[in-house]
Amino acid sequence: MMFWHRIKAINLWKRRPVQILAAISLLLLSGCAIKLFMPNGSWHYEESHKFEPGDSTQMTAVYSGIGLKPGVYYIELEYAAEYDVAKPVAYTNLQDETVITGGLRTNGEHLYAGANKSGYHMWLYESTEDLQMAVAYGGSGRLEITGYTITETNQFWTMWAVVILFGALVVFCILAYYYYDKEYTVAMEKKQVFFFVTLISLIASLPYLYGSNLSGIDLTYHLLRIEGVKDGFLSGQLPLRIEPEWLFGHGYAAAVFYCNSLLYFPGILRLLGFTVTASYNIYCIAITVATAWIAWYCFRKMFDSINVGIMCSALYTLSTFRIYKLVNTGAVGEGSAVAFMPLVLYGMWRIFTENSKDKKYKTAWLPVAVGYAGLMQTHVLTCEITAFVTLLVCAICVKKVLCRNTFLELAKGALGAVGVSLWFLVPFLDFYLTQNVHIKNLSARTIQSKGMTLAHLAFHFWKNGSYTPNGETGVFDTHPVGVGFVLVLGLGVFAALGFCGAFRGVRGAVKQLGVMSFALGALLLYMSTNDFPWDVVRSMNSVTAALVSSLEFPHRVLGWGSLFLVTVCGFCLWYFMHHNRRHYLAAVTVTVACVITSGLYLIDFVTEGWNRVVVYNEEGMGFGFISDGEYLIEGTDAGRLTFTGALAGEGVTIEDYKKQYLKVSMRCENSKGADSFVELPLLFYRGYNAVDLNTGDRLGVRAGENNVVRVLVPAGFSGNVEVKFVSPIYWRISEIVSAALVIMFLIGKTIRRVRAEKYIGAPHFPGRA
Amino acid sequence: MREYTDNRKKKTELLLYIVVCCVTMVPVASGRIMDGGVIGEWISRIYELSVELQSGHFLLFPSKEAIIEAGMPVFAMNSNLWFLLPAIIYWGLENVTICWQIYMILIQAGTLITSILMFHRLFKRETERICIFFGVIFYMTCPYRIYVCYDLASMSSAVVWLLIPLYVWAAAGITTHGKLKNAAAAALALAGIGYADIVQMLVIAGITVLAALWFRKPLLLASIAAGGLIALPGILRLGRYLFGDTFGALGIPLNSIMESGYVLGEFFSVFVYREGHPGTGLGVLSALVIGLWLCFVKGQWGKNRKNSFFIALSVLLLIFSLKAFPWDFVQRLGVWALKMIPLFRTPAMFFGFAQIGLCVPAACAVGKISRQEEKALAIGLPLMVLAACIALCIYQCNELMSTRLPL
Repeated sequence: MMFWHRIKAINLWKRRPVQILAAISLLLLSGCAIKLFMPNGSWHYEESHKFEPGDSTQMTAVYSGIGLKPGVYYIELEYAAEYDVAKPVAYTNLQDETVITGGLRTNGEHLYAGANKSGYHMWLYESTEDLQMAVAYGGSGRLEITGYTITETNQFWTMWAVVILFGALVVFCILAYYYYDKEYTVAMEKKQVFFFVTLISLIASLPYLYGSNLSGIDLTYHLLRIEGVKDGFLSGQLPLRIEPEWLFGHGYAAAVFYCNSLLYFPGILRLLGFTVTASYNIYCIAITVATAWIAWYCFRKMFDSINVGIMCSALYTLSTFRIYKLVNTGAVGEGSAVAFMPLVLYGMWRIFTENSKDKKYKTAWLPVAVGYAGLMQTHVLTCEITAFVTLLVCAICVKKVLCRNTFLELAKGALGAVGVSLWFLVPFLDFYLTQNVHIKNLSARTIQSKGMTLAHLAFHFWKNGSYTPNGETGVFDTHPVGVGFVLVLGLGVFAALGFCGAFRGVRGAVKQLGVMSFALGALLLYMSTNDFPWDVVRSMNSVTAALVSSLEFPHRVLGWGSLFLVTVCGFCLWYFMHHNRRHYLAAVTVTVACVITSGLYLIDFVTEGWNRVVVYNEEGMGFGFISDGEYLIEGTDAGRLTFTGALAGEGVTIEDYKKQYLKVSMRCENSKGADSFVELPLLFYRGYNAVDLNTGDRLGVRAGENNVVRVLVPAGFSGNVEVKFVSPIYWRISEIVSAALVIMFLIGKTIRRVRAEKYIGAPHFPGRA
Repeated sequence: MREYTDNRKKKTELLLYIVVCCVTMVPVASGRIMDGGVIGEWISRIYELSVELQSGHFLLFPSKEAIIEAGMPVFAMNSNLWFLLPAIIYWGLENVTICWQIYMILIQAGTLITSILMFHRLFKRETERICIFFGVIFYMTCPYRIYVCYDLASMSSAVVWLLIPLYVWAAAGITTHGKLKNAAAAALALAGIGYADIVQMLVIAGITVLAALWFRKPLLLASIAAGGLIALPGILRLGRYLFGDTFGALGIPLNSIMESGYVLGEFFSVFVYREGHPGTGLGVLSALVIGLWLCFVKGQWGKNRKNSFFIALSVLLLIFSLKAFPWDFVQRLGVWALKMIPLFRTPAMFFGFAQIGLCVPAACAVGKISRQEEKALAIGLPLMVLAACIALCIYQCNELMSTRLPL
């Protein structure tokens, strides 16, 4: 009997605890639903407060005595401000001494001269009668607060509905497991796997259980990406191409270059009412859990051992590199990519070691395709490094590559990955080839001195550190950019065993895996150090210069380095398991001790030593941070971009100007005899269209001053104009192709499963032919 | 032969107890009082008490001037009883460091003895010997206890941690034997706690009420009443503060304590002393993981009323220690609550009590694993847990000493 049949057979819905759970959940959900259908209130108040220039103030209550019930509200402060610099004039936030600690959650928002309203979200967990709206004025520029609008949203109840649903699901799963185990007895091995992989996930997720974020150097950038997804969805983009609110509402095409398909999950959580910090933490926990399970799955398959799979999962999930990337720096893309790398390794191992005439060999391409697709859609740079590693493996196994079936599987893997990621690749290549973005002009960056020293390899007790390794500071207070001593120890043990001839009697796919991992792991370790001639590689030609420059830090290769070294450790464990039980137990003990004293140690110190930030609403972190501005059109001065309105060229008058995300509508008139223009607060990327709504005619769109969208207004023109970003048709086709491939894959998988279930579950009649 | 083996085992146990006790005394051996925590509070008490003793007086509670001078009015309800010995030592030697060293050595040794008593009563001497041993180790090396003794450096709380095992020993005696002498011992221990820290006494009394309900032993309530009677001066003082205006001049704060509560991740902290938030500790954590593994994977965790009580109690106390627990709502129950809650200083206090509770199932888990058929598990895992406890305790003491300036 198959799993689902068994679940059906235990009649879960007839069990009293399940019925109680369902009743309570439904009751609570109904409460949320009723609240969702009730009309939302909105309150507007007008009263003028003037701030005198030169007289800066601390947080001063401008409106007080505001009474509200618990909920998520959108606060809009209305004002008139003038300031000749692209900086905020003031800052506003809410304060309330009467609610419980943590009962009012918001980071407030800045007031900008180019805008007449500043809005932000606020979470209120207790009714209040004395909410105050306060303003801190910088003392420069003119500022007059004119009023406020508070709008109730549904997000409080959608958020609770999700929490209730999730809680009910967890309790339901526990109950289902309890009854299932009682009825059929779940195998101890399965329990063991679940227990340990969950434990590994929990330990690796600890940094996200602090209710705040560690302020890693990349954190703001990735939080803005998540906010970009949320705002992009609200602006009607699916899939997201241009984050509309980034760069003070000018729109930044990060999504075209840096795929954020996995970030749709935290983006949706944001839409459902979770705070920025909570959404980010939930995502990071999810990706950590996924990493632990994917690693376990791949290593278990490669070593054909549950226990070695668990140990490798622990070594990989709690590896120094992963913690450094995901926790220390908040590099969500690279940290997420780590989850997919074991799939590529497992896929390549299958392709190169399985018997190509076996029936199951025809599915060997799948892990490669899924792994590569995941890499492309999380971190292109890691994907490039993976491609480099794949080329190395293919070069070593060139004889096998030339076999028809093997080549076919490799090609299927590559095509599958490209096909599934086509929706991202087409716009990416389109913009990369046709737009002069800043990232194409970064080949001057050198990385020679940013590598590790050999001493870093022996580091075990990593702490957060203050510096990325560089030639000047050496090992002094560096970030944890190594692999950890345990992996280097594994490399040493492998070398010692090989030197002693211990592997002579070992044959087969696992040995090939071990030897290959040893060689490539050692090479990548070497590449991550200062001793590797990066400058020489860079000076070879323009392609290597661009590649080396885009690498930014040699330690980026340690992602794959760590994976290969974990594989080497796994091989040593596997070898001991089969040849010497005492050695195996000793190796397991050492591994566990090392993981605790290195991985857990690092997590403990990172979470203690770094500044913690709590971001509730996106406005709390601003809209301007773009890291190195890689996806700006070359020559754009991001410092000059701020909230502003439309700028009319000579002879042009603008009326009814309205901007919502990336869509601008206005009434425009050119009374002069010559062509003129209107410049809009939108960063110019190919794809912006301007249409005369009265006639349907298109107006010309060019890059204007500082690369903003400039709409050409012909002489004598008068009409309603709408400007918005429209994805080209071939982008849309690529999306359809990707979606079709995913659907086909899922249907195929389902059909195969149903067939297999039918085959296994078919009644068996003994004696019948 | 069996007698010889038993003797050897006892000697080994004793030796390990002494080693662990010595480990917890490492900061004392530094020869310096580490600056920070609440050292100003007890130093000013010792100074005042010593001066008063020299003039033939004994002040049961510190004077208003001493409280204001120490700048920690939140401790104003605690008595001076347990500072009598340090004050006498200080009177004789006039050296506060030596006074602190002697007192801390006595506290550590005393805690070792009381914890041995406690775990001997909680587990069966013959069949659960290893549980007793590990219980003592967990208690002695508990990061929160080390924090209380050296990081927070609260002499009063250190005495509370010495007396709690004595109280549990007596209270457990009431639940198992029900004899009156146990009730008397419990009352004395509770009163002793009350004279050290009246607020902690109230919390422990509350926990005892829960225990009385759980085990259906009304005699436990009698011990609370008797303990309260013995600690009457402290209770009256607290009552006058909570229900009157007597201590207005001291400036005891009426602040919210929610902000200083724990967050979930801090429960699992192993190596780091966060500001007032030490973690569970590697030893107890790994023992609990072993217990969970035995329960979930092996299905070998039988139902046990005692274990269930300590687990449930710990979970409840852990919830109380959370930043998310709405202490502000509790504070709104009345003026007495508004004054009472700030005396806790921080919800972290409940985390400390939870740690005591967790020592019991953790010790039980190690006991169970040591009875496994597979030798590697039965010997290896308890050894690893022991190593984790001692190593982490040394590590934390080292960290403390190397990061704190001497007074």
